[in-house]
Amino acid sequence: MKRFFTTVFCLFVLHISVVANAEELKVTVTSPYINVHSGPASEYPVFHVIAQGEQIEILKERTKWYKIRTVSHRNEDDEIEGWIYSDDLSATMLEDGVALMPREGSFEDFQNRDFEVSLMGGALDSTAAITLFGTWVWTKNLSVDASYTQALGNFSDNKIWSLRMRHTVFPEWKISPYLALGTGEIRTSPNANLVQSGDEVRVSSHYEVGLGVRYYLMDGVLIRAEYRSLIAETDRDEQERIDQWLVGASIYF
Amino acid sequence: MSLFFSNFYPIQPQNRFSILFASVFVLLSISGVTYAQQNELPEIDPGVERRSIDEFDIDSENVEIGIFAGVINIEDFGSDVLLGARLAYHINENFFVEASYGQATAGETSFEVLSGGAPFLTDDQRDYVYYDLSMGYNLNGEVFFSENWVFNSDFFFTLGAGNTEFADDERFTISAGAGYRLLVTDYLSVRFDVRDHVFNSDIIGEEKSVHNLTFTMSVSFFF
Repeated sequence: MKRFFTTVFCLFVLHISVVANAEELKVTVTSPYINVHSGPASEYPVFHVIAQGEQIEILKERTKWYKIRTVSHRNEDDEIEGWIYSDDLSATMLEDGVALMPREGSFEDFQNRDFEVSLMGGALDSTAAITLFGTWVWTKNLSVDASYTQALGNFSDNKIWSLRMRHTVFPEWKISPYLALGTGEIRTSPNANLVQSGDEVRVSSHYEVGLGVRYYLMDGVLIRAEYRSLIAETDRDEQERIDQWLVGASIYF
Repeated sequence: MSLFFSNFYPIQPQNRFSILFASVFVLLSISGVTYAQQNELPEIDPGVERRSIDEFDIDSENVEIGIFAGVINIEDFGSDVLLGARLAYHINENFFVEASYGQATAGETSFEVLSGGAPFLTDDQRDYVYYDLSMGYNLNGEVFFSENWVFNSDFFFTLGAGNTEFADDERFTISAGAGYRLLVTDYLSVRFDVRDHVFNSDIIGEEKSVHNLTFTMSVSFFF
């Protein structure tokens, strides 16, 4: 319990230091007006309007909404804090007269991403399976996937780790096929209530081939569908093949 | 059918349901995210010099980390204290994805209490651990405690899938729930969550689907 509170305290201190470091940015409104919402979402009511020529400070960002504070040269009590939408930043200029541009969230930005995290669901042979991928985007075409899959069946459980190379065939297209090749390990353990069927956990290495499609859905989100075939090396002479179908979504950074 | 993966018997009705659920869950999440996107890019005049907001160091708060404590009703094993942690990423103003981890120690079944002995599970087997990945949808709002004392808040729904480890057995678990988040400041929130965790279990004999409800209070930080 003590460790629990220490962790909370550390998180809090860490957070304060992050907040204290953030630099404030002052801009002047160039459009006739900008609506100020009471919270970081379009559903929050507009409670204030900033007029052309007024100065605002940009404090922080959350999901494309910016927290701002109006700058009053007469009385600090007149200063108002609220949230404006990212697109409205294009109606402001910096102190040197240069216009400010919001984060575009364009397809070009997507092509310059470094990491992806994906969650996919589907079936591993006939068992429901979920797979989590962590991806490092190396070049426009090549990326490295690390994945963990679990398929918990009625008779036994399969857990699969894998590391693979993925080749996106047409990275400049919004919808593109990809191919993947990799290797990893499969751990199969029988369920506790079927001990007589063998209690041992079987570990075997595998090779895999994947064929899939990724689609750039919107700023920050991709959808993917994939077929994956795994060839497991067993201690017997023959190899075993397992098929997996996956559908899911990715977020990228 | 192969001998090696002897678990792959013909599809069981509950497996078929799980597969269907996993697919539908993912597809629903995707269509929901698309629906939430309604904003277009502004028109940009190429003649004007511009600097991107990305060049400035603006604190971005899209990740939420939290710890929770509460009660879990483990079917047949009574109500117990639950402790855990969550990590969420807010994709846009409505959607978020969240990973949760929780642990509890199961109590005794009515049979164990009434028979006055003969423990059903060992102490180690009573450890109940779960994790899941969920998709959440926020209904944004405000709460007015008085005229000048106003907080942002949201009511949210979650739907997810994961794993439950209990009595030396691991099960594919579906979780669904709702909660309320009160933002005390921009970056500090207090949450109340109710979730149902559903999985198939044969711990007390025949295979059945069990519902384990959790009620938790949590404190979370956005950073």
